[in-house]
Amino acid sequence: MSEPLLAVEDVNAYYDRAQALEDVSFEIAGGSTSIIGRNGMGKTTLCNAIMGIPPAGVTGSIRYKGTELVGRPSYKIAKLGIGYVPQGRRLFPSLSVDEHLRMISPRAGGRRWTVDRIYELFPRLKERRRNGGAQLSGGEQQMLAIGRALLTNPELLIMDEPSEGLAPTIIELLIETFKKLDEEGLAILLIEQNLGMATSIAERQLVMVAGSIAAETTAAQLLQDPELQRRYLGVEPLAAEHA
Amino acid sequence: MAAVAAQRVKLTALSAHMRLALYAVLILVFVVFPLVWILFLAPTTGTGATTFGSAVHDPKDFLITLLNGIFGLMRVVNMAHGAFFLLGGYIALKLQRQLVGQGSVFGLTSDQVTLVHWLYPVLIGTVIVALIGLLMQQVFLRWNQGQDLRQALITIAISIILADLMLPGYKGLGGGIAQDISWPKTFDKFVNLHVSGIQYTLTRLVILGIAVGIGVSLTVWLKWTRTGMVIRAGVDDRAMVSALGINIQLTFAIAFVVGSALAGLGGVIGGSFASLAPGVDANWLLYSLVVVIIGGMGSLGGAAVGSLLLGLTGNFSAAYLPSNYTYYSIIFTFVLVAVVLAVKPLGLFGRPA
Repeated sequence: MSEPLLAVEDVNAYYDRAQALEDVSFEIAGGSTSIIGRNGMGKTTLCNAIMGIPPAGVTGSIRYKGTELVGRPSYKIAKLGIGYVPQGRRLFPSLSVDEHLRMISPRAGGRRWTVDRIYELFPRLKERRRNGGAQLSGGEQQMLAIGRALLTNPELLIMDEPSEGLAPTIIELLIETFKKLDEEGLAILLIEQNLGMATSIAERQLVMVAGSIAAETTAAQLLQDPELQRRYLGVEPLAAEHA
Repeated sequence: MAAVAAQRVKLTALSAHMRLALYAVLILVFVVFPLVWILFLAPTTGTGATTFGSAVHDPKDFLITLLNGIFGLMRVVNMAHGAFFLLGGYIALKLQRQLVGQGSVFGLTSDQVTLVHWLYPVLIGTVIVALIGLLMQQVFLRWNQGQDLRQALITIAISIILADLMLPGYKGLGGGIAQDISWPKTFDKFVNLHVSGIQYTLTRLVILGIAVGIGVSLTVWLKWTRTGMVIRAGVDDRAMVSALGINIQLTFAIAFVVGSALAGLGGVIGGSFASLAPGVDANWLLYSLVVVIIGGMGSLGGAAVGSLLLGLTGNFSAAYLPSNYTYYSIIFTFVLVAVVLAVKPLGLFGRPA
């Protein structure tokens, strides 16, 4: 009976008195999982709760390989082996592409990722290494945010809406990259609104509604069931056109 | 509806005209008028010949660059910098007097002071102020990061308390109220610059050397080292740096220690070059704030350019004003501020936070 990679148990989160998460519980053993849901359902709050990023007050228990994360400072959580790609990328305007990557000190233990390997993974970044973070296109920004997170040598990569605001061709490229990372044994927790991206990366799908996990399903089931999509995501069902 | 729109167009046009007129007046008053004065009137003021000399050899501006490390680094509005400056100076002064003796009513002369008697107080003064800075940051400031107004108020309070605590210290020093740290004999001499036979004091060259050295090392530190990158990234987005596994609190503490140490060092050098007295802290703080306003917050290069501009403006205006009115030269310093803010509201090199 080994500990799961990530165990979230009865997590509640509050902004002052407004509750953003309500009794969220799930476990990740490894592999890729995606959490889907509409805007304002608490997806980003959940990310911040796992990563220990203020300001929400968090109760309950979040364990990574048996280590309690709630109450731990953010940098210690990251050092345990959790990489974070935030919503909106959050690059540093004062730093160049190269500096974004070189500022990260690799985590002791796993030293799989180096700056050169990131440039190998995203050749576009190497071309733009001298450019500032704010001068990049949306896709390049996302690559940099992912590269930056990978350099911490994570075992679990949490990504908050990586497809946001990107062109379909870039999304395709990111999906390919994520599949590659998945094959290398990196566990991915993907927070998404984009059904296409969520279902092509992860088989296991958790649906988040109003601050709680409302359902657990699989990518195949979700794609086949327009009613499920409409109810939980409020999107025009992907399968409807073909039905 | 159309009438309102037309009115608005008229207003914008009017304000554009007014802005143009304002610029014209500003340029006339602050550029044309001083130029005319310098070219045609200044020789009659009797100070013209010495002007350029006095402008380039006032090292005050370089000292201010030292003071501004912390503003440039972390956007912390540290109003206690003046007090740190004075404290560093006093610690060094006391130490030097203990090592060498009280001297005459006018303090020590450089004949009595060796290089060690100067360097040792420099080192101790700098280190103690750095530690006090660390204490202040850990106890008071780290809880209020990113809240400029609170930080300003806290550091003003600390600055007043420190200045008051330093008052009893004056009694033990003997002599007048203004005291100065003595230069060592090694520095207190003239050197021939071999430029049209100008004799220049070595002390000013030493100050210049230290200031340039610190400016260059700070730039290298911020630009090329991992710590420097983390500091710059942390100023942009602290929470994100932390989520990348970096202890940003530790890094900021290091940066604050460096900033405080520079204020202490500035105090020791300032106390050697000029003098230390109650109230001096407020003067230096004012200068350093003016420099930050001119140069722009968050920019080290801005601090250097700002201090150079401030020093040159102060000295040139003092030299070219009629000799009875030299004490009005301070006004030109604020004219400089007004002009810079009119053209670039964030300072010459400032970026929005």
